[in-house]
Amino acid sequence: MTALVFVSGGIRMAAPASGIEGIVDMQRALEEDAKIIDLSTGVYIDAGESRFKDKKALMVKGADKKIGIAADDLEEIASYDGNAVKSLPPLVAASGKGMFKGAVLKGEDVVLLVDPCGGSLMGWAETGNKDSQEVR
Amino acid sequence: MDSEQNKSDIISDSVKKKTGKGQIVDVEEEKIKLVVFVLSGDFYAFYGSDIKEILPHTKIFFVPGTPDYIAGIINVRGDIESVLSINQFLGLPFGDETKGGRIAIAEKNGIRSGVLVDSIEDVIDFPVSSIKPTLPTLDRAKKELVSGETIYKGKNVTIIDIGNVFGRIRF
Repeated sequence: MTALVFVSGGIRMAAPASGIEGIVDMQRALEEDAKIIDLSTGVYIDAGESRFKDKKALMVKGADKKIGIAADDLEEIASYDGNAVKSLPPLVAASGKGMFKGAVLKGEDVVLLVDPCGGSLMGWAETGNKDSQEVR
Repeated sequence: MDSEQNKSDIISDSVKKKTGKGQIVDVEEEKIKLVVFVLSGDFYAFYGSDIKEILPHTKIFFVPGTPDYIAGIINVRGDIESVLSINQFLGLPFGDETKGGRIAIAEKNGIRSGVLVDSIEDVIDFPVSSIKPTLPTLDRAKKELVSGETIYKGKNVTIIDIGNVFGRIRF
């Protein structure tokens, strides 16, 4: 599996390249009415938010609407074999919002594996209510 | 006199043999192993049989979208384990997860997770008779998690059944 490793809100994450259509400037994506999610908080980004002004958005493939994931920093494109992908522990998988389908180990670090085409992320984009997206 | 003393001794020995008096019988009291730890300055304990491993504090990776009591996940020799903060279940303020402490890996009823504690005091056998039931005045939410109390170094130790903590987590 080839994945884009990025940082969002200080949290290192990886998105399978097969689920990403492209990487665009955040500003451009917002101007084109895309719904961009900050996965570190679970909140949609407003066009006016200065924190993301010069950042990138990973656009999700196959979505009816334009949906993207905010990235503060793009670190690398990495290849992981099947054994490198670990399931999330049951307590985390069951109590979370379903945004992550597992994790990969990068040295001693744990990188969360985003499920860009998973139901939860798409489901969030469908509701469109910013308040309901706040996860913590 | 000597023969009377001897007779007396013989009779006394015979009586002792028949009644069993003077025999010392060793009775070992049933004991239970507890892992005593500190949370917010107080002593608590888990049952030793529920604790599989105690780890030094290591980097915890936060998982967005999870409840407050899930501190995050850790890398334990290539496996990923969850880490819980049980402070809120006990009505305690949240600890500073970045500041030292230990992670106790607990497993019960098919559920396994790390649990954050401030420090591990001891792993020790307590006589079962020293474990008292919890006070009826304890608040209901806490009472469901606590299975008893005992004394360690002159201080009260609240014994937590980690299986009840896992059961409290809503799936």
